[in-house]
Parts: sequence; C-alpha cells; structure tokens
Amino acid sequence: MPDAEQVLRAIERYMESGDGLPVVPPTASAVAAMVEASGLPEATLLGQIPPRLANVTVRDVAINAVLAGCKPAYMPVVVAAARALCERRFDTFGIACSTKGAAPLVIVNGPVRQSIGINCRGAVFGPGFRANATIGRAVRLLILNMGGAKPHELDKGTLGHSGRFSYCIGEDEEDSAWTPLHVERGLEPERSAVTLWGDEAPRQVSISVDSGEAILWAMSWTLATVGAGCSTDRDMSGAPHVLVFAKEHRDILVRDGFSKAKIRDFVAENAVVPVDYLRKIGRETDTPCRVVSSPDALLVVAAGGNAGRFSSLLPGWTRQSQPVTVPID
Amino acid sequence: MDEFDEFLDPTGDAPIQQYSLAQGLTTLQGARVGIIENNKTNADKFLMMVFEELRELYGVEQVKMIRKKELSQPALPDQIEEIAGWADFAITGIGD
Repeated sequence: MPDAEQVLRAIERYMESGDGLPVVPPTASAVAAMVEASGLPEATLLGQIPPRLANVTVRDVAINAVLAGCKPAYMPVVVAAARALCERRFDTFGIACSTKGAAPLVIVNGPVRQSIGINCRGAVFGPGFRANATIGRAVRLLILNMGGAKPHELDKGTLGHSGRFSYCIGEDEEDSAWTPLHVERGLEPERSAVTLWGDEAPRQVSISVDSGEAILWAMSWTLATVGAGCSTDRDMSGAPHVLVFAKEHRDILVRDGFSKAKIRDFVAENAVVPVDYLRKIGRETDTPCRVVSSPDALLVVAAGGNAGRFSSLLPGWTRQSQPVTVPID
Repeated sequence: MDEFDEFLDPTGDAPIQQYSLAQGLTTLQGARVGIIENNKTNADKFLMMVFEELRELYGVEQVKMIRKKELSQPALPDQIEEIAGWADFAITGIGD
C-alpha cells in the first residue's frame, strides 16, 4: 500500500504526462475493481487506437478510467467508448491529430444514464457531474496515453478544443417527445449505448422567438457560416453535424410539429451559404454552398436545462469522421 | 524497486517500433522520385512543383505520384509498396 507521500509524487508524475490535471493514481486494487465492473476478462482486446495504433485491452481502459476519477460503475460506458475510438469510421487519427482540433463527444443513451447519474439537463456541457466529467476525461486520457496523441507532438491542433479535457453528455429521453438517438440508430429503447462523435467547439444558438420554424432558421444560419460548416467545400461535403436542443426550444418545436426527422429535413434544406457571401471570401461561383449533404448527416439530440431559449450546434470535423454508436453490455 | 511500481502504466505494453533512417543516395541524377500526396487541396500541385525543382537543380528524371485515399489516414500498404518498389526515393507533404 503506497503511503501519502508516494501518492502525491505519483499524482505529480502523471500530471506531467496526461492532460495536465491531477489524477487518481492507478493502484492494482483500484484497477482490479474497474476491470471487474466491466464484466470482461482484463486481457480482452477492444481494438487498436490511433495514432499509435496501440492494442487496447480492458485493463488499459481500466487504468485510464481510474486515472480520470471514474467509479467502477462507469466502466461499461468507458469500454463502449473505447471500442468506438478504435473504429475506422470514427477516425481517431483525424479527431485527435488534425490541425482543426476536434474533440470526441460521448453521448450516452438508455437506462445507464440514470443508474450512474449522467447529467442530461441544465449545464449539460458544463462541470459538476462526476459521471459526465470523468467518462469524458477517460476517453481523452485513452487518446493521450494509449493513442499517443500528445499536444505539440502527434496532436497538431492549431487552437485545440476545451472539450479535449472532458466532453460527455446524456440525452434527456425522459423529458423529450422525440425518438432517442440510440433508437434512431437501430437499438432497442431499453438498451444503453454510447454514440461517439467528433466535432468543433459548440456554438450556442440563442433565439427567443415563439416559433419552431424561427428556431430552425437560426440553427440553419448558424451552421451556414463560412467559418463553420462551409470552411472548405471539399472536406466538409458530407460532414455530419449534431444539433442539441434544450427544453424550451424542444417544446416549441414539438408543438409546431417538428419531429427529429422534420428538423433534419429543414436544416439540411436551409443551411446554405449564399453566393454573395462566398464571393466575399474569394470564391468565383454562381452556386450557393449547401453545408449539409443529406438530412441523414444530421444528428438531433435532446439535452439541456428547462429555462432559456438556447440550443447548441456542434459542427462536424470533416466527412471522414462519422458518429459511431456502440451498445453498452 | 521503483516506488512507482505500486501504480500501473496507463500507456499500455505495446512494443515501440524502432525505425532508422534510410541510407542517402549518392546522386539524384536520373533518379526516380515517388510522391505521396495527402489528398488535400493543392497538395498535388505543390509536390509537383517540388519535383520540377528537383529535376531542374539535381537531374531527377521520373516521377510517380499516389494520392492517399483519406487525408487523415496513413497511405494504404499497397500504395506504399508501389512507391517503394518503383522509386529511388520518395517525398511526402501536405497541401491545404
């Protein structure tokens, strides 16, 4: 059993090599408890994580989950997120290393949200909830420690992303009339799942007009800015984007007949950068830039507090990173 | 025993692959250059300009360029084999 001075020295050491914040030193007993909570043998191979393409086992995930401050009960969620990190479609190479500086957002659905206390409501992107904070952090520590994507080395982010400390939300299924994300993506409602998604920093969409259509125009125009979804036509063509609607906006949208599918149709149709804007940034074109290639490229998520007419747009990194949904076993 | 042996390593136990630099060519005169472009805008133009400079200044003669399938992913093994089997040396770079 290490003494207190040893523990402090261990914290100091890991702070230098991780995300720069204090960690929980991964003792053998803490890691064993984490492995046991996964329900899997510790040597179970989950995949290879870029950019180093290191083999990731349940034990590796457990060590990083301990470092991040997770409770053992969070472990199945972190394991599912680790599997998603290793999926080619997610493209952790790009999400972790590109100059564009995207961050992996963990979106949690299903009963596990309530059993471990994932925040889905007020301040959903903010601090104060251990499950959100530490699961998101564990994902990032896996990228840093196992993937080897260290800033100024293999992580070439120009500006970085505050979500690279931790970035995890739940969908507010209980207070939403919409179909939950994991059900839209083919799972049964009673299952739990992680959807891993890589995006630029979120943009808040603030509009206090009592009209679902007005809210969606505001969302569409926020997406249709030359600095966001239309930064380069070729790379962004087909890029997915996530639209997060908080409670007041959701109520208005539902009242006005907007399902998730109708929201996708509306925004895909109207997120368009006009020709005169394009010409002002040096594009000689007569064709407006359609930011969303298909309604299917949009994910709609119900999350956020019940006071305030705000929503959030999470522009995708590029077409090369697609959201990946993994059931939680 | 290191006092940190009490704590487990979060970086895994994957072996670190060691690489060494290839032996340099003694001359570029008549050499064949392979180019791996990263599939970003203008990468092909920029790298072909590099080839033109190499031809003019050092007598490089032939070029073969391959485009990575995905800009953020490594070149495919058969692409690397194609270049390695044909070229005397290869260059890569990015455009944007």
